[in-house]
Amino acid sequence: MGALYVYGVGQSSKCGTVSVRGVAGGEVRTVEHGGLAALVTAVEGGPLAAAREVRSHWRVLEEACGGSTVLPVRFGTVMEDEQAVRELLLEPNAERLEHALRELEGRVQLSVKGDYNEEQLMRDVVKGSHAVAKLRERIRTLPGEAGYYDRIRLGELVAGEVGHRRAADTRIALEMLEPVATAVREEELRQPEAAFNLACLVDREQQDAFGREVARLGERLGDRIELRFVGPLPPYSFADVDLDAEAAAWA
Amino acid sequence: MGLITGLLTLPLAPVRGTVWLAERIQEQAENELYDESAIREALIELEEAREAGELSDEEIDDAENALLERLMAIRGFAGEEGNG
Amino acid sequence: MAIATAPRGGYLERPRPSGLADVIDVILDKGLVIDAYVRVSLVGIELLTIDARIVIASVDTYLRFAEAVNRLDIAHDDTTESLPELVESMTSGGASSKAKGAIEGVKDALTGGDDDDDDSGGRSRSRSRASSRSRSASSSSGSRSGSSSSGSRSRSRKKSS
Repeated sequence: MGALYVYGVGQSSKCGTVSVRGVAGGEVRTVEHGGLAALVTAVEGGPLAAAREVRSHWRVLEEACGGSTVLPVRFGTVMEDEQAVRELLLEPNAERLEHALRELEGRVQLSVKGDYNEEQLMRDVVKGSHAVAKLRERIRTLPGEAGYYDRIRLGELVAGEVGHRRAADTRIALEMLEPVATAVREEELRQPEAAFNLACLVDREQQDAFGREVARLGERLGDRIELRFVGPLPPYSFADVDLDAEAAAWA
Repeated sequence: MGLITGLLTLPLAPVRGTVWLAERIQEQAENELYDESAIREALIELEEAREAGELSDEEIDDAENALLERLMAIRGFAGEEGNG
Repeated sequence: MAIATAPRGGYLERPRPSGLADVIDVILDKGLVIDAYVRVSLVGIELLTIDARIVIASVDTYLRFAEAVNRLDIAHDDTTESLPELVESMTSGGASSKAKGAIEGVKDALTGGDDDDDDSGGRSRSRSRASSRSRSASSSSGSRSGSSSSGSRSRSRKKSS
């Protein structure tokens, strides 16, 4: 059938033979054009066990191309055949892809996430808002399942308060980290107790300074927020080359 | 939901991991919770179990697969089959 | 008085290698999007429409917050710190406009700036939340068992002010 699963795009000079296993246990090879190499694996027709292939996708991006920059492609992308990869992806976008790779070379993505100590957060919210405290009191005196809509209202008020705190804490984090990073992006928060989720593009030489700032950020936030500092990662969050119009300017 | 009910019948593992995990997934499915926290925590625990060698790779892979499928379903990660 | 301490926040200066839970979000949601592609399909999973999911997610979050504040064991006292003070201490010297924005938000909440209950209909069955809603892995101090290589938080001094 010729269908190819596409992991990402790197520089062909760096992406030689890829020895790591790919999706469905298949071989990873490259489709090349100019100086660009799309990392691909041939897949049979029909659905893949998508959840299992997340690990394969991840592994290939981490290990291919000898540690040089690979622009990750969105998980689950399968193109019709080699010709499609060359003519629809690489050729029309060669300049933008090369530009993006050049911009990303020598840089890594580091993830800084903050999660609230939930109990303390709730205490702070109750202390800080009379409306929340009052409604909470009223609900506690109601029997059993009564007050369902009151509880939703309470939760909504709390959510509002949490939102304010998130904004304030995110600003603190940005103030401290932006000066030592090339770019910082706020990513979507996926849990109620999340405070912030920052994707940071950092020069390899800046990593130490960045790390120190993360540690200082942790100190400043204290026990209210627990930091998770992860990386280096392929530049997933900075791979939004606009393939249809002008190149993305994330710097 | 074959995989999820399948998980519930896994033989009891020597550690709480598998049963605890199955209970979480079931709780999620039954309560129609769209909170990803439970999934995330379960993934972390699975990773630890993998490192600690407490469960077989296959059991961990199966459990992880079920979790990711659930997560993807939550995210509306749909497949559109078609010809590009 | 200068105090020599162990490396401040030393455990955070180096990032730890990613685990699946760390990267799953960026893998699923980020990366280059190519128009002319065929997505892998997920077999056997029923999917709600996007709108319904967002509505349900909101209600779940609100109920969860309500449960969380209700669980608190708060003694009745009048020495509550007001929000302006709290915000001040949080932003410690940061722009006053932040505090102002937060305070205005509170005013809205108190004066019921947003009156209607969002009871997003369609919730016909009453839900009894399992009280053992499992946060067991991350209990009060929010310590994540899977987190950084030096998993114990060894900071000894609290940031003052």
